[in-house]
Amino acid sequence: MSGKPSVWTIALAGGIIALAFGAISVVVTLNKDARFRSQALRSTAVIRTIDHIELSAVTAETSQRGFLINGNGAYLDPFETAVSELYGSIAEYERLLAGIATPSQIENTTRLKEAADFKVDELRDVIQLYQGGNHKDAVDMFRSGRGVRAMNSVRDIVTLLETEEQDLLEATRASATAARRQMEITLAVLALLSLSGFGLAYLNHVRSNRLTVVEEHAVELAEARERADLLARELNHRVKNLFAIVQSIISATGRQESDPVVAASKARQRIHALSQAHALTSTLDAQTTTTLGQLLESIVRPQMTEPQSLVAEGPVVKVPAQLVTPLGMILHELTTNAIKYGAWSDETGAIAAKWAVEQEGEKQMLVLEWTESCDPCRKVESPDSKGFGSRMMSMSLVQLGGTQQQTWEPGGLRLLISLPTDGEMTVVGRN
Amino acid sequence: MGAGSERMLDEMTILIVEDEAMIACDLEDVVLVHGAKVAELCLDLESAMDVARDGKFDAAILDYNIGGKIVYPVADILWQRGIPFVFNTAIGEREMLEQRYAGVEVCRKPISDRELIDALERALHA
Repeated sequence: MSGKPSVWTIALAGGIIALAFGAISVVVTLNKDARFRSQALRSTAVIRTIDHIELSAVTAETSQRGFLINGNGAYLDPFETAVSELYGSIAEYERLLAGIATPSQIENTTRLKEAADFKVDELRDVIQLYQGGNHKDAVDMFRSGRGVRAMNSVRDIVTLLETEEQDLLEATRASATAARRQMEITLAVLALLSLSGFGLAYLNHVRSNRLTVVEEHAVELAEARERADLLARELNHRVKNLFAIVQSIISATGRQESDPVVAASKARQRIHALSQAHALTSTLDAQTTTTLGQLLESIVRPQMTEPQSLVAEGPVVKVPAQLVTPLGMILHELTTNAIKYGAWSDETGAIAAKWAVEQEGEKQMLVLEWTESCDPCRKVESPDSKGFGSRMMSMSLVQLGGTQQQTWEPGGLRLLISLPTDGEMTVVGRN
Repeated sequence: MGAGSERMLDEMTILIVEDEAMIACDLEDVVLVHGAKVAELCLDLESAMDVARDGKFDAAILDYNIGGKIVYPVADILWQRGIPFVFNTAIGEREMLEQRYAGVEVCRKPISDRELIDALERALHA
């Protein structure tokens, strides 16, 4: 993704530029709109003033003629008012355009003032002649057409000023309208851009969601496969190990027993004990453990014949999977020996298996006391200590890191087995 | 099997390193039956290393995995002392072992007595 500018970077830059254009366009439009509005206000006042200039000139002329027709001095007051309004309006016009008048407006204003002066002078001249009793001169002057020309001149200039003001207003309006149209187009384009931006973002969101789901699946699959591989390897290892143990049982038993029937029976029993022990650890989870009590029940008790007895007592001690074989084989050999030489060779013999956890210095030891008793015992003898069974028991004890003390008493075997519990075996509680 | 054909290791002393008691006993039997003596039978790595360093024996049979640990420390000592040894392992690490100890004999559990003895003999006479 990184390295070259992505389509998203380009889209973002484009969006920012479009937004900037939109903002500028809005500001320009508002500005031009405001200018148009103030121009319109001003132009209205200007045009009204211009109209008033013309109206005042016409009123002054009308009043003068009223005076000339009936000689009534009462017409002179409106005349003077009209003249002062004429100049007042011109002054108002100049004030309205102060600082912003165009060169042609300035020039036309000067011409207007001259034309107004010329007209007012003409009107006053006629009035003065008439008041001085010089009626004929007054009428001649009146008829000379000087007044008409002066009035036309005023009208022409007023029309010019009005037209220019109208043009100015129109130009501002056109500019504002153009800006507004441009803004509308820009905003429409912006709206389109943001819509498509939202669309793209949504598509991208959907796509990345889909990718996340796919990735999660892939991770789950990989983890499941790893677990399966691990379990397969562990299973493979355990199966091979079990085959090796089974093979050892068969070959060692076969070597020891000259009678193939006896050998087969012994091997079968040992393999059966092995399978009983492993049935308790049926899962591949190394944390799954079995307990010493369960081992006794599954390996020792099934070989008992009523009314023989077995008492198993002790706390719950967990035996991890890798120690199930040696402990199971020890219990099997003890049971086999009890049946062949010890308490269970008698039909009422009893075996007591009691265990406890004891502190020996810094070590915590599991002490298993195996006591056989029969009364009276038919045949109590110690098994051959060089036999495979005895050697295997000793070896299994070494594998467990334990020790044993054996005594053969009249009632049968008395055996003390000490096993370290720190590390592999754990004591969970008391039962 | 005639007694004569079995006695092929002829008074040799063998170190056995194997953490499974049942298999260890069987290996001991196999060695004894074939005329050799068992110098020491070690079920854990620490005792095996001690014997490998100081013990007197002619050859060794090594399990690959001893109580969850690889038997390398023991094999390394034997390799340095020039004492022949064979691997007896359930784990298929033949190539790795042959690379680490050139020409070493690697037997895969479960094997027959014959294979193990042949491998020991080849190791002793190499």
